[in-house]
Amino acid sequence: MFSMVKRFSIFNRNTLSLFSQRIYFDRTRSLSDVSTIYNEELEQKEEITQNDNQKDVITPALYAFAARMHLDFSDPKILLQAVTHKSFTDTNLPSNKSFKELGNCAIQLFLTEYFHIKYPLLHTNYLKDVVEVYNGRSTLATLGHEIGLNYVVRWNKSTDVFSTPENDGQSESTDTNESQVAYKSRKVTYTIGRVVAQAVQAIVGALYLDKGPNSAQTFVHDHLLSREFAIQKLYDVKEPKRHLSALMKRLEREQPISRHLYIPYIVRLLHEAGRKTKEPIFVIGTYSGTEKLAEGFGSSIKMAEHRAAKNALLNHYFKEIKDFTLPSTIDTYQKQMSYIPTKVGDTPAKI
Amino acid sequence: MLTKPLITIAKNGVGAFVFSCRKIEFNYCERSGSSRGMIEYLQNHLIPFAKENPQLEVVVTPRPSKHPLITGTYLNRKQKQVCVRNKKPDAIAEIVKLIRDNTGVTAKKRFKKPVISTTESIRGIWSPFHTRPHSI
Repeated sequence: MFSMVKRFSIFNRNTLSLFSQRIYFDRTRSLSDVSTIYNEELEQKEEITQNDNQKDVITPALYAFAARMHLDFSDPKILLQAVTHKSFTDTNLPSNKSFKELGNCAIQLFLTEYFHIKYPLLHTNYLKDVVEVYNGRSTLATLGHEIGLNYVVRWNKSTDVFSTPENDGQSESTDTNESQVAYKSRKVTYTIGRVVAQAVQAIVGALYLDKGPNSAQTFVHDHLLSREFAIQKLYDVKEPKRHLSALMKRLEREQPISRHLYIPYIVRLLHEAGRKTKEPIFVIGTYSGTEKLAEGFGSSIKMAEHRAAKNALLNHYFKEIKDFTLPSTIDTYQKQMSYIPTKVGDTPAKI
Repeated sequence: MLTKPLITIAKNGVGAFVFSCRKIEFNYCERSGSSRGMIEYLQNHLIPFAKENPQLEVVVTPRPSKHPLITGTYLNRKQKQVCVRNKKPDAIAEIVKLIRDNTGVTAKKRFKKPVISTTESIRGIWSPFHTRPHSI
């Protein structure tokens, strides 16, 4: 459901006119049927509050949510604002956009700091990818649904951005730069996942403002960083043997095998079974001198070498530091004096 | 690339514990005899219970000509319903505690898959190439 936006973008401008806006709207409507049962109850509650002429009433669900997440703001309206999407116009409160921007930056700071110190040798591309996984729309939407935020957010499914008269009798221009779409009326639709993800970021932003950065950091560590993700999944190199050679050269671990010939690493066949049969299996180890860097299996020797090199690179670049102090937790003089920084990591080897 | 986006898996309790039960709904009938215990529970025991558990949303709805019912709604969108007809308030209090302390996981799943874990095994999956060689 979250690849909906990407699916839309592969249609080019010419085919866009063939698809009516209604089809897109209906599709998003069916995908956002996650909480339609409760949304009807919410609409009924909204009708009642409108009849009472009270706009920003804190629902019991919101009180329960605040107690469940141990959120203790100085003013309960702050949480109500953090949970109000910009599409929800029937309110006197501002939307959660400013909270969301601040929260997004705060989350990225805490996540980047944590992963950079924990994995000092990691390439920055993977560092950014990991932060994107933990702070991405899909993860935050899943988190929001798991904590019951989708029953509490205030939002509308669609808002009219601008409605201008449609130009039916215009000739179709072959120049795709001249977009006819901009002149037609456009409805912006939102999905519950996107709204919930923004609400999570807004809550972090509201915590940052109202209770301070330490409180926001505790929230991020408790709810975002406690979640599990196998960071090795991200690693994807096309030529691991080449990268391993470059790495060994950079670490100056090339082994001399004759007077002028140095090799970066040695490959040895450790185990094998079923050679010349339908399902052979080979286990190969990469060695630097007598030290084994890693081993890899495969149904062919080349595949086993590939996996062994890849595992050797993983063992090096994804090395974890266990004991570290996060610099953002230093807020007293004592902590500053007793702060022991971790060693700055080397840059990855270039091929 | 139209691939499924990577997400992190929740581990409730590792960082902070998020209470599973989000709403308890009480249904009763004003006139029927089977709701007598329920009505007494609602009058005397419910409000202290709701105050002790601020993370729960408590809803009381009359449901005429039906047996009294307690419905717990959980964060995994499952529900547990218990009919408390002809029960005393003490028994109802115990049942409410049971519903509150439950996660939404169905009983069948808890018996079929009692262990919920992200790691395959603690000591690693057996491999014929990494056993000690047999010696007589």
